[in-house]
Amino acid sequence: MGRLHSLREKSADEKKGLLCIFLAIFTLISSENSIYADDVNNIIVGVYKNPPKINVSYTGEPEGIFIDILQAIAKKNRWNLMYVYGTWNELLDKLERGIIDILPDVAYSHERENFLDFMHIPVLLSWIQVAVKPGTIYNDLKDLEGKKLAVLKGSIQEELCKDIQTKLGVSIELLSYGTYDDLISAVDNGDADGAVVSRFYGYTQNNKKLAITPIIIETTTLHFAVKKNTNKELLTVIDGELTRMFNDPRSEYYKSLSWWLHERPISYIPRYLIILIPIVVALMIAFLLFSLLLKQQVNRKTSALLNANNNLNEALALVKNTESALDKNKIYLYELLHRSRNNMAVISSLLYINAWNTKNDAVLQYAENIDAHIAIMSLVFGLVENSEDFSSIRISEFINGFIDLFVQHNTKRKFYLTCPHIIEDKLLFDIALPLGFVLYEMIISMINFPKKTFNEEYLRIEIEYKKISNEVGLFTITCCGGGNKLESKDFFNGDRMKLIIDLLEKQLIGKASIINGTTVQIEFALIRYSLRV
Amino acid sequence: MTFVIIEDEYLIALHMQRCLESAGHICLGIEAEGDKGIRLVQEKEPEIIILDILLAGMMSGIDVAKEIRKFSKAMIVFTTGYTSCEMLSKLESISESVVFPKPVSLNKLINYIEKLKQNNN
Repeated sequence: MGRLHSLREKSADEKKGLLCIFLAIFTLISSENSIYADDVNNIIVGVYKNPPKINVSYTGEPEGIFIDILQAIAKKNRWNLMYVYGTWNELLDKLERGIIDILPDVAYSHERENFLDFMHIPVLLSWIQVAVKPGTIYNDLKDLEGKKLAVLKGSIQEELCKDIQTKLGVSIELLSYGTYDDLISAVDNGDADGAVVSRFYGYTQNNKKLAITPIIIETTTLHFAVKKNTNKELLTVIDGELTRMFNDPRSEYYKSLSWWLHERPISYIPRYLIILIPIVVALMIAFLLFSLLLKQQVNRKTSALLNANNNLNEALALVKNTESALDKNKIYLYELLHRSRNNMAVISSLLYINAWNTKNDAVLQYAENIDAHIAIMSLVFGLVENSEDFSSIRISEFINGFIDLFVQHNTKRKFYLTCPHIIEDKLLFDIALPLGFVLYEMIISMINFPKKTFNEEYLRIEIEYKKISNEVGLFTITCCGGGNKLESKDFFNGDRMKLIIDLLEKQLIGKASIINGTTVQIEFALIRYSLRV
Repeated sequence: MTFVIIEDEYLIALHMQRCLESAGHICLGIEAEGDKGIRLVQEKEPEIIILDILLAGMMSGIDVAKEIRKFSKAMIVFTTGYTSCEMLSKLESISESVVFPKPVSLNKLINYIEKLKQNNN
């Protein structure tokens, strides 16, 4: 830890920042111009086995994280990489002697800085840990007391383990081996109690042979290194390229980490974005779904409104057509009624004119009676025209109209005709018309019967209507204040009265009778006809 | 009283004329068309005008009544087969007028004229 702190003290934050900016600018310039492409064509690289950082494949090719990075930089700068294989100690020796130009995967230490130049930016961070035979449990540095630990000869592990003995007072015996395979074999066959390995040990194929303990001895930074005061320009270019790679999540650096360590860059997506993006996506999806739902509802409502509008337009057209047809029918009915009345008036006038021409009173009387009947028709037509259902008329209006009409048509006779008590009811048109004729003839006959025996000059006649049942109506016509008794055999005698009685019996299913010699009762069926309209 | 009849149905007009004359009134003329009727009224200046609604020619009885009202205050007796409330309300707008639905009860008409005569006296 102390050594790392020393490095950090040396490379203070401010200096680092300035250096990074400088390196980035420098890299941009160098990537454009490739200033070393022509000068540094052949670069000799030392390769040893320390997977996954650096290794020799089964086919004899160099591989590993450092090799990937170096090859990517070399390709860009048109370097020709040449590889020299050996153990760690052999390669370190060759680097010191200038046989190789650069050695990857070199942990930084003060001691090494005396004879090596390191890149300013570490390629990887690492730590040194203790691996033991599976089943052995070491949890603390004190558990290492008196134990034999196998280390890679000349490695940083060996150097740091010596420091632990000195600084922490833990007495351990270090057994040095040339390769990692020898270390593992030593632990496996019991020559050593444990092995000091880097954190990358877990990624090797031998990882099942030893178990990693929680004991971490020291952290280190791993760099490319060159011989002291040689090839510094080479390191500068690599520093610059590495800075660029760190800032590009798609760079060869991260691809290599992903390939060898299954590590992915996590810093290029801010944490808040990782939280925010799913929320935003979820909100957008929700909004989209809501919009679709709304659109669907709007479409459905619009369709329904259009249908309703079409139906309404059809209904309006139908109403207009109906109104137009009704207007035509109304005009037609008014005209028909007017023509009917006009023609009735013409017939009546024609009868009168002809009757006058005969100069015969009986004929004139006959014409007057016909005229009265026409007037009754006109009265009933008028009442029907202004009725609510064009089928039935109010009995009070009928009686009042009838009395007025009767009086106007019989001005030469002396009588009073009244209806003191009118019961409100309705009469069907088909009943009112013949009933009017019957009433007219009955009252005329009562006034005239017997002509010569009235004691008083004026005869008072009262009409009364009442409903016997829902099916039968009754008109009572009473001679008040004078006159002789009416006798059925005389009263209902004569052709004209027989016609009226037949009309009453056959059309109105009724009958006429005389009561006490002064009153004529006319019974008739109220429901002979159903409503015609 | 003096009267004119403006009626397109001649038999009806003739019947009225005879009835009213038999009651002592004086007929000054009969016309079937509105414009001729107006001229007749202008010329004869009757006390009573018996006026049908539907006439021969271009003018209706209401049009004729409106024209007559511009120069005459004679009583107008409308006779009509139209007895709807709409028509009756139109006729009521003509001052000094009365409506007799067809077929007209001539006895009633004579009585009415008698009363009018008494009132004038």
